[in-house]
Amino acid sequence: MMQADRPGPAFMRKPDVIHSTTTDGILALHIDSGACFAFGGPSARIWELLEQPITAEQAAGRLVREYVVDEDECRDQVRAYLDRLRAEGLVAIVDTAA
Amino acid sequence: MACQDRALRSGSNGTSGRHPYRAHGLAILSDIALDQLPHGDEDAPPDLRIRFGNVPPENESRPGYRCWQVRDQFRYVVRDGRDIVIEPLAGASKRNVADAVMSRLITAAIYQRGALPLHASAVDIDGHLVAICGGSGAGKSTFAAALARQGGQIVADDILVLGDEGDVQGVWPGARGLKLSEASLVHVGRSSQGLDLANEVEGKYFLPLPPRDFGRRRLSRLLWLREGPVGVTPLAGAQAAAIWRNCIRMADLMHVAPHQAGLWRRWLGLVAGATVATISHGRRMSALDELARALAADYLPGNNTRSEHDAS
Repeated sequence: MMQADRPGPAFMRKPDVIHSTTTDGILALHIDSGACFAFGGPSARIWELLEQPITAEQAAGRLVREYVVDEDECRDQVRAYLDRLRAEGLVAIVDTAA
Repeated sequence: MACQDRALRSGSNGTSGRHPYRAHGLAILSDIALDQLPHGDEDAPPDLRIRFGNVPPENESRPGYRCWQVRDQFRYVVRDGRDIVIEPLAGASKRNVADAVMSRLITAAIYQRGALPLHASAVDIDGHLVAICGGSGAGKSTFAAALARQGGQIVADDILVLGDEGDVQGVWPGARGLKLSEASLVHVGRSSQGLDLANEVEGKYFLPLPPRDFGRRRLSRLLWLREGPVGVTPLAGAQAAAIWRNCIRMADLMHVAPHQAGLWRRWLGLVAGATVATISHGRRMSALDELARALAADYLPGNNTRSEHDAS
């Protein structure tokens, strides 16, 4: 029997990132750097979910219900994607215990 | 120096002036003549008052307040987007002061009022508004003139103001002519003879155009005029949004704008709703004409070469 993964950290959008919903997805802009990003499909859905603190596992759980995707593969990809968003300065790890 | 100061403060007929204008969605009342702006109603209560007075010596920029100096011409303070005070320096040129008021100071006031100013000229082609963005000297006004030769009507020159947040593509007109270089004037079949210099810095002349009553317009196409080989390159998504540096006037003032987040959202909404492209003329006037013809053909049935300049 496989040991269940420990839930990872919770991520959330940073307040200095502005976004606008368009017909094609979401456009986002980092106020300090002026860097622009576009999200479509599942990445746009993840961005929506990041309005509140959410772990990669929780986000993957939502995507699995909404898209035809393998759960384990989805979880791994969402983890990697959240790490990329964090590296870009768009999201931060938040302390949900507070 | 005192006589120069008096000359700066006097109207064109030598008397003290109070000049009403209607531009960028604002009723403006100014002590200094701003001849490039459309005339307004003398009785309209002003949204923005521009007057002479004393200005503090220290530079400061914070939400709702900007106190600064324009080269060796004048010091100014802009408060809450409603009040501009100008203190000319010794040897200031009336023309340079007026030009800087119409560009930099009104831009600062627009930010303070929560609106977003684009560094753009704009042309209405059969009800479709095309904005031409770019840095100083990029050819915005010259391209606007080329579009006007194809049947378009000039709506704005150098400043185009995005209006209410509820309508991200709504823009306000704000010009009654174009600032053009000698070479551009010759290209559109005009001479600089009889025209006033817009300022003594750029060497451009002000070409007035027939007065028109423009209300708010909706922007349908946003073009970034840039260096490069002749051509048009469509942009979308993040690429379109990223051209803000080339399209937003005095973007450094965004950081002290009272509604910064709203302004950025307005920019994103604009690029999401409009057709965005870069356009390059390869520094050839003839290429500008070709590009203008192609663009006008998108909107006009046939190819109407009626020129707005000919009517002035």
